[in-house]
Amino acid sequence: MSELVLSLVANYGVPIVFCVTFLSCLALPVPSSILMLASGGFAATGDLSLVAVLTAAFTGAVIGDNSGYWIARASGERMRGWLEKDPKRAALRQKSEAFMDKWGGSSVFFSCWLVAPLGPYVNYVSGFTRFTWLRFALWGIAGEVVWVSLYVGLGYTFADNITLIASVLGNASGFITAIGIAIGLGIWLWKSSKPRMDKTPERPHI
Amino acid sequence: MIARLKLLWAHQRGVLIAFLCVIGAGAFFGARTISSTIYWMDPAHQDQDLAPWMTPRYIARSYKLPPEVLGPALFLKVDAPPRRVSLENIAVETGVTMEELQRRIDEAAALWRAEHTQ
Repeated sequence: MSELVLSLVANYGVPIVFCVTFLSCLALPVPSSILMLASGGFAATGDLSLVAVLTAAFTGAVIGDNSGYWIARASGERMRGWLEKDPKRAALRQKSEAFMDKWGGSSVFFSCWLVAPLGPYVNYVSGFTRFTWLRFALWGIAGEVVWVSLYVGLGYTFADNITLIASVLGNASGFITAIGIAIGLGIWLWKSSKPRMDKTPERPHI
Repeated sequence: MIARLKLLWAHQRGVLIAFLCVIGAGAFFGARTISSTIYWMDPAHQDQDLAPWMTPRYIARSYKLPPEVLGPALFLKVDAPPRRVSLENIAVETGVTMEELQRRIDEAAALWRAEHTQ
């Protein structure tokens, strides 16, 4: 898959960069990271223009993020009746809305680049929970600036060996994402076990 | 701590298992990050294998070869203006395999490096 996409970039240039970053923001399994690294490499060798690569990747990502948001927002509205019928589902939705209200901005920002594999899902959750669009769009733009300049910049700098930088970054990104999810689940487990611990006395009172 | 784990196992088994799985995934990716970094740092691994997506200018940079050395190995005319063409297309246009191109470039690189190391 990545070989095919990279060949497409070599043959057709920056429009492919735009399409792939767009699709990756909708959770489609396209190799956007290695594509941006290779495009940065092609910019370093003079095969592509650096400005064109940066612009295509950035606009593709921002349009992709916002499409994901609006798709989820529209389906959320349509499913409202179904969600509110069941108290469990309604509570889950309320909980996620409260979470996004508190942490939405930073979730959107970091999921664009630091925990990029989660990015498309955060877009969907943002739309689904009716997170303020302006906040979503601005944090998303800030995050995509970091994502695009980081990956294209690293590709440009380490153009000599894109295959290796891609393997290092791919594994590092998997590591950070796994640790991020582990911290989130850990906090959740800790909190959910607390009320029960309080109810269970350690030793009987005499 | 043990009591808490027992409680979680009784009431939140699914989430606890998911938690342990992501810890495992974290350890796996952490180890792979370290091993790929070590591999990358080794100068013996600087020449990456040719891939169909690479362009002549990209190979020139990766293998640190001047255009006049790489050009003939890829059947490019010396006076032709540089253009973006994938190795895949060169192979199709010239009717040779990727292995053949790899061999030609390795030979050209070995010859040029032998001449320029003294």
